Amino acid sequence: MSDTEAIDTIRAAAVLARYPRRDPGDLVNILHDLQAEFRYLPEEALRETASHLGLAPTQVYGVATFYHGFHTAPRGEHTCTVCVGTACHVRGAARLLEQVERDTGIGAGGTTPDLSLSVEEVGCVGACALGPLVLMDGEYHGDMTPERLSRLMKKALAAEEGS
Amino acid sequence: MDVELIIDGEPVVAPEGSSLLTAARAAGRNVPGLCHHDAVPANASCRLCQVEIRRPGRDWTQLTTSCDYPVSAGLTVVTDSPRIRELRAMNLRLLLRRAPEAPVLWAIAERLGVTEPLFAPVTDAPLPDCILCELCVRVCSAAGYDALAVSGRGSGKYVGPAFGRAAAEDCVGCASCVEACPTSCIAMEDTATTRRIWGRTLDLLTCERCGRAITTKAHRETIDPGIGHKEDERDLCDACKKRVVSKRLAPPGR
Repeated sequence: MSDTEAIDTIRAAAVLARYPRRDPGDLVNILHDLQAEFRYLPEEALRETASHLGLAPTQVYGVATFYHGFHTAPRGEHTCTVCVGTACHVRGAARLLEQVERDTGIGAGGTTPDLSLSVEEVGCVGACALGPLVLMDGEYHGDMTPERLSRLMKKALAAEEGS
Repeated sequence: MDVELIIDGEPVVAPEGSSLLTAARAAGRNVPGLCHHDAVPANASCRLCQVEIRRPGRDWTQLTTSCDYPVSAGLTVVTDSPRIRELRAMNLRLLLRRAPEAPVLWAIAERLGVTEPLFAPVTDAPLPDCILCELCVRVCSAAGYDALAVSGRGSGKYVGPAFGRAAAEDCVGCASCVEACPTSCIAMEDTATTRRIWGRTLDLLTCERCGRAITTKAHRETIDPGIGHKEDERDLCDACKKRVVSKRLAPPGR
């Protein structure tokens, strides 16, 4: 086991300690907690979870890959979610995604190599009147234009460097 | 306890807890189905075993998969009708998308009057001809290995090793999945000494008497030494085992 894997295992064990009942029914809750800890679900964490709950690693992996909200590859510090629902689509969501790709070199579902930003698209966030809409780290930004999105991403990424 | 129900107009008695599919087949009805195996829990994924049922006291019928529907007293079941055949035919066309070559599908297609595929076949599946019935996963789990994962969802769903690996690390090469797979889509290659399956290459165990391959060494190691056979009869192939055991059990003087 590599150092990183060993550390992942220890961090996962700390999360799993919050679930002393070892009830397989807690699996999805545990995966949520692990993702909050790691921003994604590392293999070692999933293996730890399997042995904690008495499940097979294959079963845990199956659940982790079933849900759209769980990620099995490392994720960026920040997440830019572009709404591509019908209302946002007709108001130019595609142009926003193009702008993201121009600025960062990654498309929907991607993560920058320096793990600073992940880009996602989402079907509809229920704020169609504000479209086209972008969520930056979960915060809603409506009436988005490619130019404003560029500034928004720059600001979010700069805040990380400053901290 | 047994329950009495009506299958295609005939009274049928079936043990409580058994499925409609099992009861119907026991009564001689030819209900198609690919994802069912008596040894493992039902998955109801191939959707070919659908039947029409009417529950007592209701004046309407409903469609249900029969493999995961338990028998109950007074149930009226129809296993074949134009409505059922039409549904089965459409579900079969959907399966043909994934396994356009599988002879087992075409055999059922003939019965249902399906002569050509309706949908363009899937060409980029990680496991060609897999209809995602998960029988391999279920038998692997029942055998206690859990070497196979069902990964992803929707059109990206696939069966294979977990964590994106090329090889299923917990696979012992018992070949139960190969045996269970309805479309025979799981690749297994045996040489004189090794077996290749799920990305692994495993050494074969040969019969102590005749030298024929029995199973893999890894599989043999997982079999509980306490069950089945006497120590000196364990590593024999079926034919040699029969010979040895019959000799042992034969009355003296014969």
